[in-house]
Amino acid sequence: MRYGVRKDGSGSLASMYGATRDAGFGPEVKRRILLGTYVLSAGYYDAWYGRALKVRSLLRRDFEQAFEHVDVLAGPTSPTAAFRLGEKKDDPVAMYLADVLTVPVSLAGLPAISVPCGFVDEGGKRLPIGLQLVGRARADARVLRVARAFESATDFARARPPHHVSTAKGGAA
Amino acid sequence: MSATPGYVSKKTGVRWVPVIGLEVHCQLGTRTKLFCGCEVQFGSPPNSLTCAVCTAQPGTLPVLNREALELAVRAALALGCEVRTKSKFDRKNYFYCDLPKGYQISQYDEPYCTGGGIQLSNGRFIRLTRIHMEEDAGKAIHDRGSTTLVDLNRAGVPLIESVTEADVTTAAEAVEYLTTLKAILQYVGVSDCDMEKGELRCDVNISMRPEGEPWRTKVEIKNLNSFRFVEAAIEHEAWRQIEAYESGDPKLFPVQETRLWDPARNVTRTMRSKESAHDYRYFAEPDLPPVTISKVEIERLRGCIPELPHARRERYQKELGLSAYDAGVLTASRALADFFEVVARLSQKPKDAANWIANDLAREFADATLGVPNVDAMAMKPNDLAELIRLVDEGAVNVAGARKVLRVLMKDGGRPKELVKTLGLEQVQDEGQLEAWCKEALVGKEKIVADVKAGKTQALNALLGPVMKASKGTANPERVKEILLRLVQGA
Repeated sequence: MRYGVRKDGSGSLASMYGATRDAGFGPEVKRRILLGTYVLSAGYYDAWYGRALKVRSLLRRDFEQAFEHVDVLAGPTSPTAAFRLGEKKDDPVAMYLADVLTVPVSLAGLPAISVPCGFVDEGGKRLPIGLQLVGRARADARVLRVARAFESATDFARARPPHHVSTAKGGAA
Repeated sequence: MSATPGYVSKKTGVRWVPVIGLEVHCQLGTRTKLFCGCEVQFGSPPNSLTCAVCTAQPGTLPVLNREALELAVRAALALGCEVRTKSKFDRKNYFYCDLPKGYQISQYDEPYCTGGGIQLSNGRFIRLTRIHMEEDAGKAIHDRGSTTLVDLNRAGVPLIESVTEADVTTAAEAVEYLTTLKAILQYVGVSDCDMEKGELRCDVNISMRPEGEPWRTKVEIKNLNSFRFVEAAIEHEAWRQIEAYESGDPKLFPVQETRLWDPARNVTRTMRSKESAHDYRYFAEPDLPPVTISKVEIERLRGCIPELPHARRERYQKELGLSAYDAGVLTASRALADFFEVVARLSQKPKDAANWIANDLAREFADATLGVPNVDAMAMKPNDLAELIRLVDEGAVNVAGARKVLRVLMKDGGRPKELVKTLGLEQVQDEGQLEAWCKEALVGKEKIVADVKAGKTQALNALLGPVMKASKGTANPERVKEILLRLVQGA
């Protein structure tokens, strides 16, 4: 093992693997490995992985239909502004929901970009929010052009929330 | 058609029929590995042929070796398979120290080809279900002290795995299938199929059933490193299963499991049961795009398929008038068949060439003391053998002498004519000398002379030995017989 943690376990190869994974992986990584292993295992393969593949096809088709009418889809990158570090540690599903707007785009295999588009006031803080621009398959260049046009037409890309600016000044300057 | 295949139980009189499927892994003869540029070379120092990709360092990505795909397609076309213009790679997941990525890149539900098969001499056709491409794993070495050593030189070496339908019904059919498969793969230049280097590996799936009954539980047998082991393992496993069923005790019935062939004890033994069977959790390899090959490309490769063994065998019999046996021996390997064709052309004597190669050469290959096991290891060139055939034909050397020359030619090479001289094998052409030897042999052999005069010319054969001995083998036996006959009849 060239990188990362290695724990020896009780002598066998399998116990070394087990001990190393146990020590080296955090709870979220373990959760995803378990979930992935489960949906791919014999007996559950068709019910989960097979169905997921079908859902992915439906998603892709849905996007394709949308792109018959528009060049680029624009919307929020995330359903909420940033939550505090570790705040949703005990509620993985709530945490996964933070990705609900980007995951479908990845599943459909489409090019997308997130660009700064302003701030919201939440809990006495000004928090940045992102605009997600999604293009049809292989339209990466168009997505980048639209993003550039948006940044040229607005000042959001250069704006900093107040506390961020002060930290930056205090640190790097 | 041969008799109904099967094994008749002495105990019950029931005829048990084996249902056998074969899985064969064949290493493709590429210069480099399947997904990286590392060289493929047998016997190199451990881990000398590795890179970041085949040792699975983070951030590396596989790139398909186009030559491997071409060889795989050639194999498929030679075996009559249907090649798909689009296929994909999948990850086969399992954890072992010889598999650095934790998965093997293989093809699962969309292999690059399906169908095809091999025709056996008894008229039966063994269907192929599919062939797929995959990478080999490394080698775990357990017999060097207390720790396991890992050699990754083999990790990432390109393989094709061919899988038959359960069409094989006897051990002999299994061996013929494998022999034919090996010959075809060698002929089309897909692989050297050197089993000692692990370039061809075979697994057997076998279940037994009473004739006419449905299929029963199948058992997989691994570790079959030679065709002889395949044959022995099938024989052994067939009877093991029959005895298990005939015990009448369901607890002893065969279970679905993987068994290992133990060549030292001639038995199969449990390797892993169904409960501990791997769940490979296949899914599409996201690091590789789908494999595509155009119809035009497939047809180009089809045009490159050389004449296959069975076609050559037929041609040798039909056009050159060879026996089925000689044609079979000559076409067993492409190297031997190619060698034969050149000798036949140069000597203009295809039957003599066939005779020398299928009998004498084959016998010498089998002689370990000579140390020339095959055509590739041989110093003799086709024109040497053609010249030797000519020398025998002209009477310059007799067959026994030519066999001695042959051994030297095979091992060290040289000019046949000079070897005949230096080995003292030149046939004595001097009539006076031959006659002197013959007269000597006739002394005191009145009985033989009388027999010959009475019409029993075969009686002369008894005199041939003494004359050949006197000449130290340099007399031409045919010529000696003629002289003896003349002397006797003149007496």
